Amino acid sequence: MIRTIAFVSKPGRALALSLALAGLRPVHAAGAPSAADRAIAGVEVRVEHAPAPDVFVDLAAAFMRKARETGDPDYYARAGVALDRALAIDPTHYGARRARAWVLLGRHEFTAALRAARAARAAEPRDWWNYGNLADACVELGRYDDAARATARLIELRPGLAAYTRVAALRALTGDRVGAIEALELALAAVDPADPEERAWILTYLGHEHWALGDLARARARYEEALRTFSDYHLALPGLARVLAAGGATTAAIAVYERALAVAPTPGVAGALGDLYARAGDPDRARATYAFGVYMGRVATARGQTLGRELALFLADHDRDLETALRLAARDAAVRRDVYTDDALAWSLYKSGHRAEAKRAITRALHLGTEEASFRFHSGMIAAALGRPRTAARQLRAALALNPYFAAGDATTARATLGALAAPDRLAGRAS
Amino acid sequence: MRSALVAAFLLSATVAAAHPLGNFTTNRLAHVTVGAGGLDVRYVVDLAELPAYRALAEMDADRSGAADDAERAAWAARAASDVARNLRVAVDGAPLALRAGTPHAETVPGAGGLPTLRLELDLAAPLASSRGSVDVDDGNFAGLPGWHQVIVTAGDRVAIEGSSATGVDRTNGLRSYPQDLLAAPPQVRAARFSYRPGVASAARAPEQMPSRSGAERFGDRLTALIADRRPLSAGVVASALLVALVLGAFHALTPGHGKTIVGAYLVGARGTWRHAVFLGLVVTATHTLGVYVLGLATLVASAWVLPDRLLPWMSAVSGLLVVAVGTSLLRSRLETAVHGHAHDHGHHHHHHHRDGAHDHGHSHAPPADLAPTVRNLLALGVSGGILPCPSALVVMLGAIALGRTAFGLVLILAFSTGLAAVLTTIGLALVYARGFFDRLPIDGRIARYMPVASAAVISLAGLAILVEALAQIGA
Amino acid sequence: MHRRSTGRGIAATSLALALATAPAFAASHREAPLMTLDPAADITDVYFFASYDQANLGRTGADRRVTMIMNAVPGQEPGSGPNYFAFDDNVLYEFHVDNNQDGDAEDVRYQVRFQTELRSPDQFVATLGGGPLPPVSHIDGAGSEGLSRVQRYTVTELRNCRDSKRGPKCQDRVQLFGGQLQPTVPSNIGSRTMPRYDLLAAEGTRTDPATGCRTFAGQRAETFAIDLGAVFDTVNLRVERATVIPGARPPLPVQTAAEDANDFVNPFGTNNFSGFNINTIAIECPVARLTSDGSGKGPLGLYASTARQMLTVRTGNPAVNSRKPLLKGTKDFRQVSRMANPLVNELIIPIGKKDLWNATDPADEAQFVPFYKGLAVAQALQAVSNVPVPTGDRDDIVRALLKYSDADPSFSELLRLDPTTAPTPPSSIKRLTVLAHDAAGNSTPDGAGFPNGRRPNDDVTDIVVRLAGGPNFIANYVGDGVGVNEKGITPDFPFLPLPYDGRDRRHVDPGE
Repeated sequence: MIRTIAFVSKPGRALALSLALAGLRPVHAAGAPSAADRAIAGVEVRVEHAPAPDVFVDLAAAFMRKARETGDPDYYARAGVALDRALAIDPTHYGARRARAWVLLGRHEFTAALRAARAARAAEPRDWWNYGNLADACVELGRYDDAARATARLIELRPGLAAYTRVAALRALTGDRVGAIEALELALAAVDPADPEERAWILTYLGHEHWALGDLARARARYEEALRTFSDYHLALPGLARVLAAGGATTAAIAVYERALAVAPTPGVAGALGDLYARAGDPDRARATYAFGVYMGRVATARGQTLGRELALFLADHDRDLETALRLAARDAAVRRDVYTDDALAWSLYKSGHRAEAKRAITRALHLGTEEASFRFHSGMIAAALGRPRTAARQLRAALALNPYFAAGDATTARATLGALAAPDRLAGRAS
Repeated sequence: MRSALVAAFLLSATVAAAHPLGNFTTNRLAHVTVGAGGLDVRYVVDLAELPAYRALAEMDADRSGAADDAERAAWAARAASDVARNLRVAVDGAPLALRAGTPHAETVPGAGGLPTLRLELDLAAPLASSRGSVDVDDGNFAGLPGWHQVIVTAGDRVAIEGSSATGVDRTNGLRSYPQDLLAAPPQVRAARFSYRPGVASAARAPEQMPSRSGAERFGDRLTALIADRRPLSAGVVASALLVALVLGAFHALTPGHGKTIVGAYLVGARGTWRHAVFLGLVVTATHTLGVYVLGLATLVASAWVLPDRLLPWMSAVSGLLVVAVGTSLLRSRLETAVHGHAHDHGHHHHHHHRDGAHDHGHSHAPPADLAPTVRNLLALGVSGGILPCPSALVVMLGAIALGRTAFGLVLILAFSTGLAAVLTTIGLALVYARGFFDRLPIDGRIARYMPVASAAVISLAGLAILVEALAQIGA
Repeated sequence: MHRRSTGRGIAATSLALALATAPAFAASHREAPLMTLDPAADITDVYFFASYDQANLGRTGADRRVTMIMNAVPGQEPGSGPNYFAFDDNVLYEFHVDNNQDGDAEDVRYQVRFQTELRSPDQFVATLGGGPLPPVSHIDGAGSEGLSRVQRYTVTELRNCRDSKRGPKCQDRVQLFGGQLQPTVPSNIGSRTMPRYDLLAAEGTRTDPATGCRTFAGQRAETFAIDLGAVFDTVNLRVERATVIPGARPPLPVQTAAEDANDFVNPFGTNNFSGFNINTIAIECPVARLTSDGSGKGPLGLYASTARQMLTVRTGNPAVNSRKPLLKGTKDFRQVSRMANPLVNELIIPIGKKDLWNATDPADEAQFVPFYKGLAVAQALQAVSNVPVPTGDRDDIVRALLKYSDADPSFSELLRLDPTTAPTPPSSIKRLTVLAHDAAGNSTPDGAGFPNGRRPNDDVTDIVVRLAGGPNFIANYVGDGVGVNEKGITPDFPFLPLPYDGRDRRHVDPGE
């Protein structure tokens, strides 16, 4: 029996045309059925007609698209069930087996995703698609050498959008955001004009890169274009909001944050919005928004889910329930030793008073040379607490140099701390 | 003891399930009904835990920590006016002003007892004309994830036509959501339909697949049993067999399978219940074997010949058989009826005469050659069952394709048994009905020609089958 | 007794069984794919023919002009603002010519690279013309201010090339137009932005006096005509209005001789490509330039390819951080798509092999020969229609698509053209080329089309279906009922019609 792969990798004109016929538009308007909605509807008809493994794999793909569009993790579960169905009919179905890694990545089960991607690669070593999943899983787990090797193999097999975005991710992680932007621009040129969500995704990540380098104008342009391409895109809204806030457009920033909180509520957004309310002189709303962030954790627990390091950072940043913050960060770090988890762990440890361990964690977070202002900021504060003023000052200056706006409250703290650090030096007559 | 039970019950009641859709979904349903009184919209909003929290916080205007009734009512009123403003209904192009009733908001426990929020609102407007076309466009909560649906149903004395939205409420007003994770929540925000006076016709949206009717539907249900994804536990197999049995029984009631022939024969030949049962069994066995054989032949020959080319030929053979049996019966019964007794009968007459007296004129004993001998019954039974149901054939092939051959074979057997059971019942019914007819003071001539008529019916039926088969072959 | 509909159910089941044992292409063309498409690098059609404009009809020998066309960026729904359709600056578009019949098409190459000038980097709408800026009256320079984005290209001709690990090494290199960038023709947006698009399009034909070549790059209308739903739904060709072959179930869609001979009306079927645009790169050169000895004699073999550049996966910003790079990489180009003969990738190469096929050199086609010989699509046609197709290995297909002659030892998937065949004048062009006939059924072949090269209006779907199906299919004029598109034959370079405009487009069939 020939192994069939559900998705056609060189679909040619026929498929592309059918997409156009199916009405894919380059722009997604709010309220209108999106490309994922149409895809789901189309595949569900086929499921009724002829429930074959290929069809269930296509259904899983459509659900994954919807998950990307909305940020609703429920759709990952649905995709998983669809793959289960495909494998129940045919346990050897390659298309389902290779898609499994993708779904697991969405559900943040990174170790299982790595296993699944490896298994798929073993089955078809020349299938470039598996290397993308492999690279993603390795990045999330902190296995950067493996990720680089997988990405190199990917680009060798099939240079294109999938490869460019992974190259961009690695470059950004390893201290080359300019190179990441170059790769993402290549991806943007290669994206299908009739796929608004993909285009919005690339634009959003370009926005993140520009923001990380402190380039507010370019970041804003990219986020706004992303939102024009895909209305209410949940990844772009918080990005735009923080750019607006950094630029002083507080009212607009609040409106966009509120929209983000409605469309895809996350602790990070709740924290940022709360901070903004606080700075704007509305402590009641700030309190309510923080409470909402905490509540998200409660709901997740009630559902048996975890919000992981994002919640940990939120709690640590706002000095709430540090025990939970530490527990969440530690649990994440047990599974994935990537730099962002190490950073969240370091911050939680620091806030809980475990300074030496915090230092070890933040050193790990910095080891790749990632240009992340918050890493530097955390490192500076930890160094200051450990009585290392020169290191602290250097790190805090580096943070502000990278992105002076990075997290408004933190930036203020950074400046204040720098000032305090400089003062004793001056008093003591030493150069800092 | 009782109080403990009550407590347990109450406890279980508060351990509520998480909101079945995601915890940050905003689900809404606009259920539009058009009746003689006008157009009604039952609008339901169901906020999952996270949006519910924000809404409840908003409700609590005085920051007292909980929303009291007045605050809840005020919030509901504000929400209701927002909803009404964004819900646009147009009749024949002209906007319809909907009047909102009193909204009702309540919390429903979700994950871990944390509240979800439910808002219900009725909007209504009279309709100027008794017929027209309606456009509904719900702009509420655009861009928010969740279940978004518009439903259109007909009220009293109105019929709905050409509705782009379904008329079926699967969620009972967003109270319970379908369990099937593979059925994604609808994202329907608009609907268009027309209404006119009349009895409520099917307000369903045109189905995407052609609607099936009659036996085709049963065939598909049978196929569905094979394709059932669940592992074949004893319970699943047992229930599937039962369903197959029932389907076979229903199938027997559809045209075909020699009911006419069986019935006509039994009436004419004075069959007893044993004959009826035997006939039924023969039909079953033939049908089952026929499906097995044809299925295997299809597999073997699938490279060269399509099985549906075979069907007309088998039909023709069956028709020929039936015609042959029927005409031979017709011939001999005609003789009997015309001459009083057949030549054969005359022979036997002498033998019988030795045994006892009998009244030839009133005898309803079948002529010997017409007697339901094993041979005649076999012939008829085979002809009735020789044509396998295509749906059963599909099941057979499908089962093999899915690797569930044994299950498929057994299902076919169950199907055929159900088929046979009904045929036998019909036969039995006719047998006993015949007894009833026997007691009727029917004119002797009619009584004499009834067997002829039945043989004629058999022949005609066979002829019809033959002709149709030839037509299909020729087409 | 049950009738036809359930009969078809059985047919479907047995068809599924039959096809399960042979590689079959997917019918999954209606839903979105699992991974994103790469339209800018996706070649949809390749054409190769002696030009049939008035001037070239009079030319002979080495002076005759030959046109090479590749189409890319599929799925162009004309009204798709705001970004419209462009080539990708990061893709290498290339024509490869084989002029010594060794199957290796590296003798002459034409490389096309694009460069985009973004005039208003923050304005992401493709044009401003017709609004605050004046309508677009020229594709470059004065009058083009309404275009916020102008894409230009260079064409490099390479000869005497030798393949090496790092790519081709070529001895002779000629930059057409002296290396000057030529403007592309932008997408046809609508009459307000581009009131005289026909004039704009005419500006896209560029002539290089030094080489005698003409080039064009920009948007045109699709001439490919196919009933997609019918063909790709496991060759479920439409039968509702077609004549029926007795004894064939389900009936094969046949056309009468008269219908088939009519190149102006589609008898049945729906042209799914009607109304769509495509991006075209066309190069026309004197055939002397393509041949090895300047003689203008062939046969010539052609394929077109797209290639993307690989990136280095490096660690750290090399300017700032001199840490050793994680991995050495190259910036070489890697081929991601190729095409020569039509419908090979769609109908002959199975799903699991399409990526591999796209990345390989046509001269290495020997590894795919079993798929040509097995010809699953013919099996599918037979299974669906019960009309017998030729049995055994389809050496005829191998010969037609992969070889110059019976004696040719190599297998190379190239589009082969005999440049000494005189081009057929546009008014006499027959879409069925070698299978063309008149209304009475008498053969009137047009030898200047596929498989002798390929012209934009050749009905390759019908030809391929008939060649695959064999004599029965040829004799009964089987096809998808869609042979022509509504814009007809374009008698001038670049031989593809003007694109549909984004405002007033409608998908319509000829004869509608």
